[in-house]
Amino acid sequence: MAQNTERWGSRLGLILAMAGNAVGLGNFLRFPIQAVQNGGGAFIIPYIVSFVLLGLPLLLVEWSTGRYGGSFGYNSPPYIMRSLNKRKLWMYIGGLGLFSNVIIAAYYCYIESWTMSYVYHSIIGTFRGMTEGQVSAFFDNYLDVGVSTTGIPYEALLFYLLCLALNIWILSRGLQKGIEKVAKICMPLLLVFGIFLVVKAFTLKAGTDGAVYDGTVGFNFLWTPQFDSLRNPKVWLAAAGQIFFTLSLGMGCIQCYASYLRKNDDIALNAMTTGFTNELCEIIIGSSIIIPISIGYFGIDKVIELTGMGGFGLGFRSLPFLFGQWGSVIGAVAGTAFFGLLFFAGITSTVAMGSPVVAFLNDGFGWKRKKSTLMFGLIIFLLGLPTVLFFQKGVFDQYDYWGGTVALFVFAMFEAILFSWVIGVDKGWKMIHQGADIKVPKVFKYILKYVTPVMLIVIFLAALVKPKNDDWSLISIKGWPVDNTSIIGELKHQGIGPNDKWIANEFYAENTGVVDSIYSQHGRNYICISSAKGNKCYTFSNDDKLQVKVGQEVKTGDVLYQGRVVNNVFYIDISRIFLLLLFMFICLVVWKGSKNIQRKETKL
Amino acid sequence: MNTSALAIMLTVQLSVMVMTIYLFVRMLKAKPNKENTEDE
Repeated sequence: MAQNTERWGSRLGLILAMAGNAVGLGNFLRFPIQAVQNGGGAFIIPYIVSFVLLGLPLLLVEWSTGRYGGSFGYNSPPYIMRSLNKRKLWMYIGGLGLFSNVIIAAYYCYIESWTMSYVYHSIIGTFRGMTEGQVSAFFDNYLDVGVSTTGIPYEALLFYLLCLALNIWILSRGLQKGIEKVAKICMPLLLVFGIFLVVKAFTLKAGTDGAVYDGTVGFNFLWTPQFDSLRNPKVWLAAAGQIFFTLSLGMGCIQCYASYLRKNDDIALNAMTTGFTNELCEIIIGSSIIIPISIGYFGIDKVIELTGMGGFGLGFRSLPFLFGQWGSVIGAVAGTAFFGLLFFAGITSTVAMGSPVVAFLNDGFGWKRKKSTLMFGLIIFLLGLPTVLFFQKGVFDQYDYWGGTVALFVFAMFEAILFSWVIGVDKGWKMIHQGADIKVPKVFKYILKYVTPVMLIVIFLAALVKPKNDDWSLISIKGWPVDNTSIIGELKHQGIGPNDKWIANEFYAENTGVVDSIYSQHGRNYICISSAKGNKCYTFSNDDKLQVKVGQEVKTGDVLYQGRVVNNVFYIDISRIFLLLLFMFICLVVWKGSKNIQRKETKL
Repeated sequence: MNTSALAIMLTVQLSVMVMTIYLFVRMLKAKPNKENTEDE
């Protein structure tokens, strides 16, 4: 049995830490985009259904299994799973909880560092007077590590290290003095910043501060129901996916935090409260900032186009420019509030991601918190470095897809099966109600037994073989073409385009369009192609031989330049191999830790 | 704002807000579990 005796200092601290874990960048950047792309006000119907059938039951599962594992002295997902069932399979499934946390923390910490940097730039007024294009280019240059737009060398790397150091420091201070204290500071500040921005969005008036439309136009657009979309399985899958990510399910963080509870502490009311606190931040604040403000300036059509780039496109490329329209002081305050809000949401989530790893090193190897926190920092730094250096090569996306999406679903699916079908929902129901301050409605017992596990299996299968362009009418007994973003499509490199060799002597046009510009900036050469899918720029070296001129029309597969080319598919494949090896290594370490635990148990 | 959008927005947002406040109040009012206190 492990020797960790850490406990939460107060119930409010626990709730805020759990809510901080759940409330992340996705609440403010992902949810509004999903709502816009999936039927506006009608999206909320499948979203709420998913919250009830998937979100709340899984919260109860993770809280109760976490506290159960904690009663045996285990705080990390592999050994919490082992305490629930002695079969080794479950322990290795718990290893997914470590895998996804180190992978997500590695790239999440990088995004968090962008928000930190944008707070800094908002305060010093970097964006003041910039055009929309300049703000967008600032973001691209920021991500290009070798390029410095502000005189700070390796700026992205510097902020990343700063952010990582802050995370390590918080984690090393422990549960009460670190995580709980940070949650008590960050969560109220996040709400204050959020309320300020929501008020600004509601009071945005056409004709003032350069706004073209009232803020209410955006709210109208976001909340006007398109009931037709309810018949589309894509909308239901998107809603279930959003609920899953927003509540931080399938990561083992909730289990880890709950394992520090005493055996008769309430979990039913706590789980419900954190779930609803997250929804408050998502549905009220998350939906009321980026879409209404962006529509107020750009109009609906352009915002739909911009949402195609995801929440990051709107958040980092457009909002600093829009805040600049509110004047230098209010603009700086709004920029600080928005990126500060994202930073607080991010940091309370990354410290939660670190907790299962730190707990694992204590459970399996008896490491003290400071030592295990430093090890976590080192792992995150080594894993995060490729995402910083090769962000534009697709490494970040691979981490996000396999570690931040697929692994979560697989972990949660097995966790629900273990709870409802292996342990048995009757025993599970007793675990939920031990020391409970509220009685969970009995209907949840049946939801836990039948609906949640089946729903997770269906979602996983749907993600595996999603039909092309999300067109579910293509499903046929004879087979169907799968979408590029389905798991099978991803594995087959579907949609990778003509540059499908690791190393080649020519670089081909990825879309049909026109050569928009060819230029050099900050010591790099760029060739930009304007197509129906937008404007995309590629870098090339001085030794490469250009095969096109400005204004020339190019088709997909035409040669843009000749030279020694290392294509993105090389970085993608290496990332995948690396992730697979990492998971195998984690399983090995989990096995070694379990041997140490067995030895201790035999001695006792 | 159009009526249906306003109705949906207010219904959803107010329900979530009321539910969150209700749960927080219940949580803050709940007494510490006696058995845990005895454990200490």
